[in-house]
Amino acid sequence: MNSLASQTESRMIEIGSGSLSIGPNSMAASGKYVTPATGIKFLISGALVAPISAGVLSLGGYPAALESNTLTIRKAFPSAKSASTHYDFGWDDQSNKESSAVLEVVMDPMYELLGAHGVSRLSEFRHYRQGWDNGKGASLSPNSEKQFATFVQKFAGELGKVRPSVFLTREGNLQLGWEDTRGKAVEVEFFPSHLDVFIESANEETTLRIEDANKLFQDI
Amino acid sequence: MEMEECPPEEEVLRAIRRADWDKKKNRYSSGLFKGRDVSISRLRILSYSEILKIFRADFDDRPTGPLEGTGQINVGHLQKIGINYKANPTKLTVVPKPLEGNRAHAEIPQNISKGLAREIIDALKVTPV
Repeated sequence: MNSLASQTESRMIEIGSGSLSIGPNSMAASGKYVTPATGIKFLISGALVAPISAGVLSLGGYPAALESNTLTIRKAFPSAKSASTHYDFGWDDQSNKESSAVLEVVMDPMYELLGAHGVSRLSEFRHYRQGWDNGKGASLSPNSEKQFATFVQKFAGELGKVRPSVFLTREGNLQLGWEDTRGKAVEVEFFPSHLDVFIESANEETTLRIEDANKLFQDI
Repeated sequence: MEMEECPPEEEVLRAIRRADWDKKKNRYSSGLFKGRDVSISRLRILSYSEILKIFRADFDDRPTGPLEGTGQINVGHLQKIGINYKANPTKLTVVPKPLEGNRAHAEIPQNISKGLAREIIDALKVTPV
């Protein structure tokens, strides 16, 4: 059954066996934006959502507002890119039963890679202030985040296989961590000018440029 | 001048914050122990609950560093891990550095590599909070 919960805290639109959920900071509306052809249309612009293949759309971690047929994600990632996709779904409002369509879905590799949990961590790290570790610890470096976004875009496919975790280091850099096929840790810290790489299986700490980072994924 | 060192029988606690521990995926960052002057607190000076209160006051009152757990390790064990670290045997010490609001505060002054940090993390007795 397709339904839109009426609670403001958590709205859920089921899509087949999957669901589209809008987080606590979201505003949602229905009933005003009916179009003759397909019912209500939501043009989703900003950042979304994975895994599409499972029919699950989730906006958790993305503050969103729905106005004039446009669901706007307020903090879209710079890495967000557009993909033409069409989803039909419907819901039961308190008073209306209506159908709707998402005309455009903007895919964000960052979200696909990290999931709602990882995106939420990343968002939180952006708010850490200088001295966040007992007086030590720099706030997140915008240049580190830029490197991070470039890396994620370049190696989205490879990273998708290892489902990394994101961390913040005391240098104010983002870091990804995962395990290789032997269950040993791999860490990549994103300095503004280079990557600091640690490969536990080889007990190797090295420096790489993003262009040379293919070797990280030879063992996945 | 030689700095005073904590004896090997002491137990120390490290605050584990969200930046260093992805609790959901149970992954740690070597950043938890990497680098110089890593902060720890001595259980000989204050009780676990008193230190936990300080960790929480340090971190939970700020919007920045939520406390996810504590990691406990014996100083002697920590030193053995350092000495036995094959890639670069390292003599680790724990030096008392009392702070206002945390008289149990101490630091590990040596520069800890990522590899050694991971070995220390593996040896921690972690208590989620």
